[in-house]
Amino acid sequence: MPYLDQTDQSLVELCLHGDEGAAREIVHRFERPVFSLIYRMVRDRELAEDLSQEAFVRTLNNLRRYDPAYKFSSWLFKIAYNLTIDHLRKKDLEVVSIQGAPDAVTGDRQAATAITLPSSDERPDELLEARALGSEIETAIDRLRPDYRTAILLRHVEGHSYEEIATIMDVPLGTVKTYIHRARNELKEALAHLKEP
Amino acid sequence: MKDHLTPDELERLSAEDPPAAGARRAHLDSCARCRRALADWQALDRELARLGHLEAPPSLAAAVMERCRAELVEWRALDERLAEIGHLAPAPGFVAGVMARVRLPLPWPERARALVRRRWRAMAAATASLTAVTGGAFYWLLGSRGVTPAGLVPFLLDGARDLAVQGALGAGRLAYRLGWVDPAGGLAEGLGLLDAVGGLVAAGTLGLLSIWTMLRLMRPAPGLARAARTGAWGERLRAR
Repeated sequence: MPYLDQTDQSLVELCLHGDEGAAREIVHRFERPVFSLIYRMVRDRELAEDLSQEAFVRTLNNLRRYDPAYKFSSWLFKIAYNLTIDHLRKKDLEVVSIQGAPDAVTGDRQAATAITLPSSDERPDELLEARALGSEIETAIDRLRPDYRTAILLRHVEGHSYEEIATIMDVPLGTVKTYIHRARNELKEALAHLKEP
Repeated sequence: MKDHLTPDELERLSAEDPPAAGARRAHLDSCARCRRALADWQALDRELARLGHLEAPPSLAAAVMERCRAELVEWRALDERLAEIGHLAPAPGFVAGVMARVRLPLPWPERARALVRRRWRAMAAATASLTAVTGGAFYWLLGSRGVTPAGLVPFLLDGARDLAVQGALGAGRLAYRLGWVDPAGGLAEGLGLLDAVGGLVAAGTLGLLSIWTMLRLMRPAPGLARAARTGAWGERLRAR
């Protein structure tokens, strides 16, 4: 069965008939987008992998509840987003910046709360990932409020429409527009120092 | 004098040239204070009407355009940086980890096959035991009646024929005792060909509906197809 050529909806149909290959293709197709969103939300690789896996398991084990009127990826991202937000709220975790917690005013405190970037003897892909996460734009995104950050990532990284983002985040369309507008303004200000002279 | 004109009334009167007749006009004729106030309003109006446009600095338009261009450059730079953000990859084995915990709904024939594949030893042992017990019981029963293995098939056929005949006779006797025979005969005589065919179609439809309902009820529930093989990541998440 050439799963690569199947649409998301067709894969869901196949899954509903017990096709394990189709389920595997769904996970393979969305593992990076879902993991990226969650990782950028929690900034903890292990936790992000756990939450991503949980999101996929919940999605695939509840396929009968999926309403085909909506885009499958929106449903999947909605589950992933809710799971992440719930987890952050439940555990009352602080979303830690790679440069230290926002309330870290001393150097020691910043060092204690900062995410350690890997050294050069680590895997090349991890090194690339660390460089990516340490870039100016990632740092600026990291400083956004979680809902602004989710909206901007869904819009600019995943390419979702405003309506889809509203569905995923379960907020009105106008709120999504406000989130993205404010997030873009904050990002522009944060990156203003990089402006060419 | 009471009831001087309010600022709003003065403003309206100043717009009228000459002021229209009426109660306010009559008050104005008899009140020097309100006349002075109206004259002040009209003087202000005349001064405001003389205000014209001032020349904008020659560089204003260029400065505005420059700022717009700079803004545009900034927004474009932001869009370019946002477009550079890529996806991050989970650890190798992520898909396998998910699939180990996924339980897809399976159609019942596949569920049965999967059950046989998983439990074939236990099922074979149960079948062998059942066969041995049943065979032993049959052998003992038939042996006590003097039936040899060679005469088993004719004996079973005779038994089946007797059973069918006795069943039919019993059903007939029962129907006769319950008084169903005569009314049913009368009903059959009163039925036309179309009625009979219609009745058969209705009965057939009802039967098919029953089968369909049974099949719907026997559809597998999600969560039966796979057993978790590793589940390590889920355990880790629950332990957090």
